[in-house]
Amino acid sequence: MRFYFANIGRWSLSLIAGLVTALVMHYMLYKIGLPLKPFIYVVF
Amino acid sequence: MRFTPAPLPFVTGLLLGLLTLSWLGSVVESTRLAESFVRFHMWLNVESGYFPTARQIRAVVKRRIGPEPTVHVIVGGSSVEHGVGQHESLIWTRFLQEHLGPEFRVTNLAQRAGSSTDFGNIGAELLLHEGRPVIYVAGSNMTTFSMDIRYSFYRHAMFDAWHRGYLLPWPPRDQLMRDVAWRGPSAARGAALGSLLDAYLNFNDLWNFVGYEYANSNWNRLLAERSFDSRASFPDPDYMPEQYANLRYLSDMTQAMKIVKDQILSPTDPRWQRTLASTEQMTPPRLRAVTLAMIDLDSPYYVDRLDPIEREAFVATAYEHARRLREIGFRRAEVPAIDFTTDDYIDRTHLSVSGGQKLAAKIAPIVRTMATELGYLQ
Amino acid sequence: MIFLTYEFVGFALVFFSLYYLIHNPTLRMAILVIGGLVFQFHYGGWVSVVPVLVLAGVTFLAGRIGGRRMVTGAIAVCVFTLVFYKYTAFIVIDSIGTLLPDFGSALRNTVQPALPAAIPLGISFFTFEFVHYLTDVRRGDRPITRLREFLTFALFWPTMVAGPIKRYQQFLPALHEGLARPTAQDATIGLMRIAIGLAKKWAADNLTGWIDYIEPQFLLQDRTWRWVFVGALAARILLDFSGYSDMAIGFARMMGIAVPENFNWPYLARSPIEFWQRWHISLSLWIRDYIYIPLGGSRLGLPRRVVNALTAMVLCGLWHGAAWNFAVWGLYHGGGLALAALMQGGISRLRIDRTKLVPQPASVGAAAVRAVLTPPSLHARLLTAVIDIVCWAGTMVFVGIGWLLFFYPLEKAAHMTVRLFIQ
Repeated sequence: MRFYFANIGRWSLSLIAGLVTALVMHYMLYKIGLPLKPFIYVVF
Repeated sequence: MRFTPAPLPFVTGLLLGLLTLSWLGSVVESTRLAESFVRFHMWLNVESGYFPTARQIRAVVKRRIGPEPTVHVIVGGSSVEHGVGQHESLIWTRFLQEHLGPEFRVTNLAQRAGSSTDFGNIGAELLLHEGRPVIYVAGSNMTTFSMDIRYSFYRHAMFDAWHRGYLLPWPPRDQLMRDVAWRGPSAARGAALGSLLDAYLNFNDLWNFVGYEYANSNWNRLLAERSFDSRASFPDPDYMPEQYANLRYLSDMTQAMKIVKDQILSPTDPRWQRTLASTEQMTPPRLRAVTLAMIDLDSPYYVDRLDPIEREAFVATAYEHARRLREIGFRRAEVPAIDFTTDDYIDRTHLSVSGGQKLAAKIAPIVRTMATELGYLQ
Repeated sequence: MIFLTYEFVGFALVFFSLYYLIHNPTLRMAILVIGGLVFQFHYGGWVSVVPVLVLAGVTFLAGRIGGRRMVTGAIAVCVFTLVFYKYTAFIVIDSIGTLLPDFGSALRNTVQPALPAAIPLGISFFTFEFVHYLTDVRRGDRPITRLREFLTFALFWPTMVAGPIKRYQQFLPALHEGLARPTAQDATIGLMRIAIGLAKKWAADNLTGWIDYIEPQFLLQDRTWRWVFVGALAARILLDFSGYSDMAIGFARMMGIAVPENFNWPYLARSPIEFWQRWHISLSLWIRDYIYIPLGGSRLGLPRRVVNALTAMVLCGLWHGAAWNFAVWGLYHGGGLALAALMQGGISRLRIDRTKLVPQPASVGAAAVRAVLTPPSLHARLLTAVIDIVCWAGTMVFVGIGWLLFFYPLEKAAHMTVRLFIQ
């Protein structure tokens, strides 16, 4: 029984870890496209 | 690492997460952005680390406010057409809309440091793709209409639109876009590859949405302490006319006059071939057929300091460019600022509110005539 | 940062697809070597590829042929290459040019045209790995006999740009294990590690933006803000560097290959000695094994120990950058290490040493066992806790001030340090 619950716990955490990893990677793909430093278009 | 994830549920979570986020990116839409849209001002722009996507352009162009217009008028170009120098409540495209009436819907997609071939054209082309009536009012500088996609600040939007099928098919441009991914400068290659990934994973749309609606996620020097506020909370920062009064004509005169003079090209100058070739490559014929090109002129404050021969050559350059654009299929090419005064400018290039009003008054009848010629109006 | 480019994402997708699809270890090794060459060439060009291949060739051959002179000569070639690419301008222009302006100017005009236009990618890392390899072979360790194994070691792309600095004795078995059978577990742990690194990099980039923005106003802020600034500086470099290391370790782990850890919660350190056991571990171990110990280490008495530590740390500082502030930063940490070594004995007498709570062998005697197993008093525990906190706080102040030396020119860093204590 303990083994079963321990496994459920590990599997759930693993699933969450996978989801979080996906979130981080998806977000960083967006961040890669942003400039490192802003450039300013001078008006005057 | 104490916690060792089990591979199967981890990979399941990873794939599920990526699929869900990609799907979310494909469906989210900032209705607030579309419905309140005036222009992509500085806080919704690349300068402040916000890269409007092709889907956002589409949402803005097709925004559901009031009845469906008979004719879409898409405005493209540089900071001049963007309305730098004009507060959003007094922007020239509002006056253009007033002159044209409800049959027409004007959308200002001109961008600071942009051109008519790297952002505004996306709005026009996606409508043309769908068979909608559209007139493209496109700003141009004295000698070049188009921007080299490899160096444009808005290349990300062009690649995004290209991958999503928003652009009109045009082999010379399509070939250039393909080449950039392999042979362009490093930053352009990156943008091309990023857009390819984004076409499937939609990360730019999702995180732009989050940044606009809820919270920005990256420090930006211009936003400073407000870097993590939502973009929707930032108003259009352009000034009211009285605030510009003290800021006029601060640029170095020698440098400004050099810039003015450097724009003069004789009709036989070989550089015309290069710039027109670039324009042809970046502008599909179907788009040229519905385009009103406006050649921007510098302020008389500077132009009148040229000697008479230079002044004549300066004006002749603008008209020569207009003529050459018509030759390659632009429906109309005009020099609307020919009779503008110093008061119609806030600096060397950007129009004041009065200049914007004059521009709108001049352009509106031309747009209406074009709409009739193109069969949009009964 | 190379890992945060779309081109790298494309490279990684192609690389790992091939790596997992192909099951043959020899072919996998070939993919690894080719991947390393492509990586070096793309991000460094011929300027980068040629020196690393030439040095790798020299190192491999010297190791194979053997002989003290041959190996020592190869070490000299590696060191000379590093100095030539990285330090010539510093030596000629910044050092000689500053001390003897006229002579320096003439020397600069002669030397400048011969200076390379760019520094090979990861030169500070691959030269250190080659020196480690040659030194250990000279000491009697078995050399790598297969060129392809050596090339894999030399061109291992995850650690190419910024470490961790590998040791070939650990790398080769790990390499063969990974090539033979990268498991799903490896891929999972690797991906998680990469995600952690990415999250750290995001935080570091935001801190960088804030630091760059606030730094011009450093002197206008109150002292509390200045300390917050130093804290941000310290956090930024840890997140940036450890985030990169996490990604490098993660990518290697995805191949089933374990590479050394580089950081172990360095800001929990209670002394500069402990700090260097937790910070950039692969580098500090290298400095210890190939500079400090060969100089004599702590075997030749206290004064010599101090000199050795200072020398090793100045070189460590200069390794980070060819500028005087890096040398001073190294000297500063060397001084800290020396002082910590002097104080270590006194402090440890006051603290409860938890290692002494382990039961002693029977030969020691029952009385000794009883004495050792008696739990420490509340007073002793409180004293230990206070000492730990004071030592930790002192170490953090020491390290934080060190970061000012690391990031800013000497004069500016000194000024900023003074203003941490005086409004």
